[in-house]
Amino acid sequence: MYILGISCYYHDASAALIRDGKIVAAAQEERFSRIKHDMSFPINAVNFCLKSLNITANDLDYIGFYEKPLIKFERILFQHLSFFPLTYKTFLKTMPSWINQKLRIITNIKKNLEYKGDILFIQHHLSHAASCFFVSPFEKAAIVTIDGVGEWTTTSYGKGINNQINLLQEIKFPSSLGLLYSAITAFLGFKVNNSEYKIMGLSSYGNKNKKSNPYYNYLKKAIKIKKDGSFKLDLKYFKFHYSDKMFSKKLCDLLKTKPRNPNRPLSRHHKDIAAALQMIYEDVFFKILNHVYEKTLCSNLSLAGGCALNSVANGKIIRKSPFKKIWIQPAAGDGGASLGVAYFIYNSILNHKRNYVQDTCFFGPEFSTGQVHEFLDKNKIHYSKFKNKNELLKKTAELIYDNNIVAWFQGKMEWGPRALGSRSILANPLNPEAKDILNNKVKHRESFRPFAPVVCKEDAAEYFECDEPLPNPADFMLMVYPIKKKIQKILPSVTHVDGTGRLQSVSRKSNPLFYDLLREFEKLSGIPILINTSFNIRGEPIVCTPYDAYRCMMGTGIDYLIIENFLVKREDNLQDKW
Amino acid sequence: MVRIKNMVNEFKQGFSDYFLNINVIINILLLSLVYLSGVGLTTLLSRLLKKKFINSKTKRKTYWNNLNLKKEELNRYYRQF
Repeated sequence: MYILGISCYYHDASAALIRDGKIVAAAQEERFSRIKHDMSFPINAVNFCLKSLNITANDLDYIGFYEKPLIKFERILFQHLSFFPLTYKTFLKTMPSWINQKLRIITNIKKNLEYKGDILFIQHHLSHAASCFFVSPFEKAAIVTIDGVGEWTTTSYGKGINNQINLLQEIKFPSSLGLLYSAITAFLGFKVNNSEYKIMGLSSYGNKNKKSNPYYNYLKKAIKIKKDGSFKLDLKYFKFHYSDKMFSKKLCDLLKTKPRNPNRPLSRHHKDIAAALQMIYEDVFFKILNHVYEKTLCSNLSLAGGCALNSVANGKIIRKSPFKKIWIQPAAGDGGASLGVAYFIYNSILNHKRNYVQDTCFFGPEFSTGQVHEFLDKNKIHYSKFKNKNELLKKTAELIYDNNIVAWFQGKMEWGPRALGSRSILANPLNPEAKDILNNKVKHRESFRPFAPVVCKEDAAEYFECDEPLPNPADFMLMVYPIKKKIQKILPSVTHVDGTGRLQSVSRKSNPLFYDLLREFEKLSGIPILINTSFNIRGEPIVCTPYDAYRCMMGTGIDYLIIENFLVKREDNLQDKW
Repeated sequence: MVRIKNMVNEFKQGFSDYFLNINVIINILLLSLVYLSGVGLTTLLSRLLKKKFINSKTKRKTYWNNLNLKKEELNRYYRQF
């Protein structure tokens, strides 16, 4: 049985294909279209999914869509009715896409895919819930979903038992933790629906003392929080409910400062505002988790929705809540909802037993040695070929140890926003200048943002003050933990200003080649840790094809590209051609 | 020959841009009409009847709303609402 899940028309369009309850292929449209957070119909992602099994759309048993468009449209109309005439501009801006695309989803799917079968529509937060429960290792779990907004729901919780989910309670739009985070992201001069994680990183630089950080108390006036974690935003400080702007002038008055111009440097108070926001997020988040535990009495927690990518809060769940085990969908945002809808159809609606645990995220396109060889030859690229895997690992470890920036392109592309060892840029964490080199040569990103360490799973506790046993979401770079004090000095490039690191753990089972590379690096350096950052440049999606990879290398200061069995040195090739 | 081809292409482009602009103008006019008559009048009526569409000002013990969202019959999933 084949089921295809689709999410699109808001942000992060994606497609996921499951066969008899197992993930076959899944990818975000942005990787193919090269438009970051591409929201258009994921035709390339769908074609990739179908091609990976050599089937056509009419071989599918069902297609599932990740939300109920008419309920969402009702919410949009109610916003217009509630805030007339302030919504005039947004009405003109958004209605054409609703009329041409969003309300014609059945026609669009059938036309784009030449599909004649059934299309099912699952509520947005139910799709999120399914994406983090049905593929989790838990038979029974509490489920929490938090994001900007779905149809009406912004936060929900419930319980999953075997192949059924029951979402018990919700918080409705316009009260939304995701939108609060986005509003402050905009206030601090960053891009909404893109840079929220940067604010999370920035928060570590701010004052984390609730008493002495004035912005914590100011910002708390914008949100009423109950003991049970439920909350309500004071709408006078926001504009997102009637405009394409996120915050009102009253928020500036509340915070006693102007919004930051994106071109101006970050000041002390910007960092304190970010810290205040993160503290408020965590206040609400942990109150919600405690409430959910009281209501469900499950010690397992499954988490999804865009806010589940807040790895700083995730790293504190075991310590600060009654939950003992957690699982988070690596594609926790809207991209992952396509997977959720496919699983909801298979497990819940069709009542099939669960038979799969997602312990990896490599579901994207892959390129064989032959395909890569052909690409290199066709484009007259100078390269050398490794004789075997050992040579590849040894040479790569040496290059990294010699402080080169190495791009690593191996196997199937990752599912979700993180590069986890298929499309990664690797560097030596022992080099105190690695962060600056990576920023100057490749990433050109904000200097305050840390780089992530990747570590062999069984060694994580030696270097990080992490939960033991290490929760599975750490495999997907979803947990931030303090780095042990004595290690911080050794690994300055991956140690954030507050002494933490967003680690990725790797087991031999999940990614043998990447694991062996860490071990090979350990032979040279004494530590099984590398810097792992996504293989892209600022503003572009992570690379997908050999062409994207080579183009990215030639357009940046990446020294070497290890692509399947081949080694490409940037200096050996003509740069101006690319 | 190339000159004529370029001219034709430029003409085509200009024509397409022209219709695109006309399209945008008509869209704005029609949508404005819908907004003012449809949304505007309904808003007026709802304000007279004190009907609220987004419940944002209620004082409550909790802001959690009961949802009880679980598996429904298959035919309900064919609906977009």
